[in-house]
Amino acid sequence: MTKQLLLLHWKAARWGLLPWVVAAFGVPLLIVGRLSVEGSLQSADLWQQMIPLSPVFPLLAVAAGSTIALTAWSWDHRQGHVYALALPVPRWRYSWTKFLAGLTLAAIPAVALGAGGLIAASMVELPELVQAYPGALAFRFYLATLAAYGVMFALAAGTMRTALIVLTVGLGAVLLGDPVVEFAARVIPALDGVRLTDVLLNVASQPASPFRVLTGNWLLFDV
Amino acid sequence: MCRAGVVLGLLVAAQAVAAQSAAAQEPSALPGVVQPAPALPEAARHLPRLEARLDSLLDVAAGLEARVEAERERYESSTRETLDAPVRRVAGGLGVLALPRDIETATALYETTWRQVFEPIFGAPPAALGEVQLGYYDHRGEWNPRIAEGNGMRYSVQVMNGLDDPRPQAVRAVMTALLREGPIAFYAWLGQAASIDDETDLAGFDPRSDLLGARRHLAATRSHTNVDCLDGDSTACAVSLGLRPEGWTLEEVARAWYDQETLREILTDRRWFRRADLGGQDRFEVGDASIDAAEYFTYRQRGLTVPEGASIDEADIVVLEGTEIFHDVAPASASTRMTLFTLAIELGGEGSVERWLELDPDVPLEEALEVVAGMPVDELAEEWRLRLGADTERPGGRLPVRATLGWVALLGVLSMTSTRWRLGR
Repeated sequence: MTKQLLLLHWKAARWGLLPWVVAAFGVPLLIVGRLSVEGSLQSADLWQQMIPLSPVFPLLAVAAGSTIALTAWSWDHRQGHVYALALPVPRWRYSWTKFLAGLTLAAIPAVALGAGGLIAASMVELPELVQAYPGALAFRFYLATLAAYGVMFALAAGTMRTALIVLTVGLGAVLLGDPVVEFAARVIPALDGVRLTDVLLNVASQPASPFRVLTGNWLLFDV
Repeated sequence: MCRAGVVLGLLVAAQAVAAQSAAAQEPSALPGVVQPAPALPEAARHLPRLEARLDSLLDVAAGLEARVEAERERYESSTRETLDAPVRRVAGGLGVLALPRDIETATALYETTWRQVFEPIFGAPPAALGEVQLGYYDHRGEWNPRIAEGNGMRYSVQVMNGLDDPRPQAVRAVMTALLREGPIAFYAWLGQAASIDDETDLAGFDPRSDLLGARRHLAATRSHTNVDCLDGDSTACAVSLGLRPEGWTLEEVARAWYDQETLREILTDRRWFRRADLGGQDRFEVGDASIDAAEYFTYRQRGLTVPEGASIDEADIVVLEGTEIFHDVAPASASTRMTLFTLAIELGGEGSVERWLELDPDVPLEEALEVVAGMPVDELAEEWRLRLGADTERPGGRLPVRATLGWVALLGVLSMTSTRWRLGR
């Protein structure tokens, strides 16, 4: 059953995953391309060229993980979970197998990133004290993809209503949180100066947070 | 009157020429008989009248000028009466200057800036900051011509559409004010950092120490002393930072930074405008020898005699061109130098800021740092180097592998508890 579910998941996810795989492969090359345009890598501008692009990696990981998680359950949601009901296996085993299939698929964009990073690193002559980290970056990317996948998979495994509520609240907090808190501070002085996005970022970057991996050092080249 | 005289002279001359021309065209009534000269006395009769008319124009002009002046005075007095003048307020130890409509916002901005950015390092604002004027002008409000010359452009913080977040400007304004109060050597050494207007992580001024940024910058710059510094040589660190270790000359410091070719490349990058000053020429002929244009410019700018056929190397040029170019060319950026300064303040402990601001304006840089840090420069550089190496997060380091996998497993287990029965949901 594992193989069938993996194939089923692959069929459902492949087109949605393709842009993220291409991007994961291409962004390291884009970084090197930008550096080449600006001149030699042996320049203090190295970081100023690279740092603005580094947040793209965690964003790609979240996008890839979410795509894999949502496509894992899209088939079931579309068919009213009839297929799962018809299977002679317990529900937990069905979910777990599906979950493991997703973990496997999550490696695809990470491998693409590692390959792109290796090629990019081979295209430039680095300063003496600067090194390329394509493998470490790909591993970090895989972990970040897993974190996003785990959260979205758990949400999608429940009802669509639950998933919608959680996602709406989460996105609302990120997009509208600051203006709402700023408005509320007029009534509640204790909220004055509080920025919800900073609070959320602080919580996300705590060592025990599932999103900690999204923060930190995402540079392809570093000292 | 002088102008009237000139005009009058022209009129007379023109009239004389016209009269002569008319006389030349008029046929003679009696051939062979000499005709009388043209009637110049007639023109002379008109002269007083013309002069009077011209003088009357001067009177009119003087009257108009008086009216303009009166209008200007009336406008200025009405402005003084109807428009609010900028007010100065000392709040939280900071002297703030803004229009009355902005003063609350400006005060809150500078107080918050000090509390969030400066207080953790500098403590309470030094007394000198109560004497300065930290400006603030909001261009989005109604224009007030009394704000300052140049429509408020001289105010250190300006808020306008598209530039709504004044916090980075406030940080720069406070730091610039502090640097201006201290010795000139610090301003020359760090002033560039305070004036950089860049949103990137590695540029711009922020007294909060960015040792990782400093390490990255040192690593990516093609400098011998940077490499030696990151390999553990604190003297090389001091040299990279533009400091002069004991027994070194400035020329030796500049010579140690880069190989000659790299230094020439860096200087050439900074010289393009100077080449333009010199008519776009790369070389100049001095006597029988050809001399580099930038070198020639250096001599000329310093008022030195260009030696015939002699040539100075790039390090000499750097030193000759003065402290601004010296620090600009140094392989440690201004924001990197700021990390050393911040460390000096921290190690100097209580009173380090006061010691800094009380220093003699002309005290040398190395001596100023020693006074602030309360230790010799070489020890300060060694401490800086140790911290520089400690604060490094590599892409593969400190990955939260266990936490992430633990959460993924937990979420996977939670997803197993979902029900297959979906009817009605």
